[in-house]
Amino acid sequence: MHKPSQQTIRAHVVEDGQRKTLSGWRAAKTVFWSFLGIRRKSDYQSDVTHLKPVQVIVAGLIGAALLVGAILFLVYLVTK
Amino acid sequence: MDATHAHDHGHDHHPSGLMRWIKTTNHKDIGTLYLWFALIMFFVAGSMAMMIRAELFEPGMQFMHPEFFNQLTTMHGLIMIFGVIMPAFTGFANWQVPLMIGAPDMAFPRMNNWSFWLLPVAAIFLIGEFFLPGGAVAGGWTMYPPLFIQGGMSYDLNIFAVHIMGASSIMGSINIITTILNMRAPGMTMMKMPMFVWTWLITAYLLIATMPVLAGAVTMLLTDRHFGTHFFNAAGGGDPVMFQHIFWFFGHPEVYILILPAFGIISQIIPTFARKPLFGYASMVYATGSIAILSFIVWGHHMFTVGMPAAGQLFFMYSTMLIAVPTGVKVFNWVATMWKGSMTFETPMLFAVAFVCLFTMGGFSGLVLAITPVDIQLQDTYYVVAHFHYVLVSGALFSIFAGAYYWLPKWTGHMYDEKLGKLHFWLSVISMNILFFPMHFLGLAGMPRRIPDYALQFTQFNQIASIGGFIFGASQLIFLIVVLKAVRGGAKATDKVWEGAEGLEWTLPSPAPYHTFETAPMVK
Ligand code: HEM
Ligand SMILES: [Cu+2]
Repeated sequence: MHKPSQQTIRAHVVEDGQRKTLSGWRAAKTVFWSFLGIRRKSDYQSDVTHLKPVQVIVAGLIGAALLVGAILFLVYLVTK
Repeated sequence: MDATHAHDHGHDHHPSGLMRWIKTTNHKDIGTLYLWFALIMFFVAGSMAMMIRAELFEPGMQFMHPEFFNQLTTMHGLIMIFGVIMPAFTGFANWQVPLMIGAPDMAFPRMNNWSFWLLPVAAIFLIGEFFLPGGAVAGGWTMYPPLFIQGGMSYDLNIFAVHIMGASSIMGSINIITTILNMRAPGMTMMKMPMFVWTWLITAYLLIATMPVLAGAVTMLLTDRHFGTHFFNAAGGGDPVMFQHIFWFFGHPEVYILILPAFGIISQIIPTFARKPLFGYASMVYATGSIAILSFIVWGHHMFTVGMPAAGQLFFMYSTMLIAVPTGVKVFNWVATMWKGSMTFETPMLFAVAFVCLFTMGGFSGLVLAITPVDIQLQDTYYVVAHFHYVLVSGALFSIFAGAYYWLPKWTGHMYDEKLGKLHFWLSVISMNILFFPMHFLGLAGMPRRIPDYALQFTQFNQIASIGGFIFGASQLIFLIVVLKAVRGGAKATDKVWEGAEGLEWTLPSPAPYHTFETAPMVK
């Protein structure tokens, strides 16, 4: 079997890392739009092709936690 | 494969007569069973409502003891929710999900059979309670302690029935999720799935998340009753309010379990009769998903009056109001779908349009109740009864009627009687408003719910509501006639049935053969 050079391996690692952060951001955006309930069709289509269900679920749970935090903060401001 | 061949094939190796239905693992048979079960239970719980409205026609006690009245309101609620709306939607899922995604059957056909046959057992338990010493449970469908700890043996039977129905729902959900995720025809990607399939996928997850919570709550009731625990017994150091928290952590997602499949059905029907694709399909999917998530952080709006710190009241008020945003997006999308469409108004569409108008009213009264200081006035009044009947009768139930008229030709192979269908619609929609609209006024004037007697000044609105109720009840017999007529004969339905219909189910003959999509269709 052909062994990949050190360089190609590093290139792959970098690429993978980038894709992770990108899709993390993408999942966050997806969840944000879903809380509003609207999404452009083309964006939706690229979401569906680029995101795995697990990512969306995790992002959704984090989003829900953030939302709870935000409402709690609002409550704190109001009752202060 | 042509229809006749499919038919022969279907009938040569399975039992006939009663055993066909008891042993069936066919998704269409099981769907039919669910739907008939729901219809029968609809008339059972509906006749309880008729008795309630008869008693409330005048102040004072006319026909029954107050204890029996309380049993009626409790069983009416329990049966309508667990025995009518939920099984009806599961029946739709059984029939339609495989047809819509191009699958030959559900993923676990035997478990499917078991999920259904648990339900009649639970129904016998629930109805049987009336014949036990002390009668049926009378503490309200919410099963709050201390009443639910103090009651007699029917309370145990009720807890058992809830456990069984929960198990049935969980198995049904596992089946639906597995079918949707694994058995879609080639080319049927997630983003091409019909809205009904999407909404049921999300509903099934909600069910799996919340049914165990309900089971836990009633199990704690059971151990409090018999095994010396004091979860909800203040005398033993427990807290009855904790039950309310646990119950509503299940209960609020549950109301979305009762409405998301309705959203799905309406999202199938409106595009067909507006002859336009669903506006904002993507946003519909997103809105459904976020409603599901948000439904877990609003339960406290049912408990504003039981005592809660101001910070808690504010939290639940804000979160409840936020949930109206994605719901509003859906209503907007349905209206935009109809906008400039070439619409026709066959019975399914009439029910769907009524849904859009009237469900929205229920949503608005929900928003009113979400405002804490307002709810402190209105909690446990008829205003709440008005709210949840607008979302459940003109919401969930109307969507079930809409869906039944829409797919009946596909199921039976015959067109239903359009004249009778329209009559059913108009009588229902008018009488439903006569029945429930005055309840807003009664609630605002302070009439408490779950009460067999009332002060004189509430008489007129109660009489109007009762008259509306009797008309509504009688009108539902028309639906029974329409269904029976369509099952037994009538004009032959075409494959596509509706001019504007789209989707895999309409590529099949009507009635859909016993076995369909044995070789998966290709979706482009
Ligand atoms: C815009 C969305 C909604 C909002 C803001 C909302 C808000 C509320 C609030 C605040 C209450 C508590 C009233 C009280 O007891 O004082 C309530 C009760 C209720 N809601 Fe909703 N609701 C919404 C939609 C729905 C839907 C879609 C359903 C069912 C399909 C539903 C079913 C119920 C039921 C059954 C109750 C009464 C529970 C009981 O027996 O006490 N609601 N709603
Ligand atoms: Cu709620």
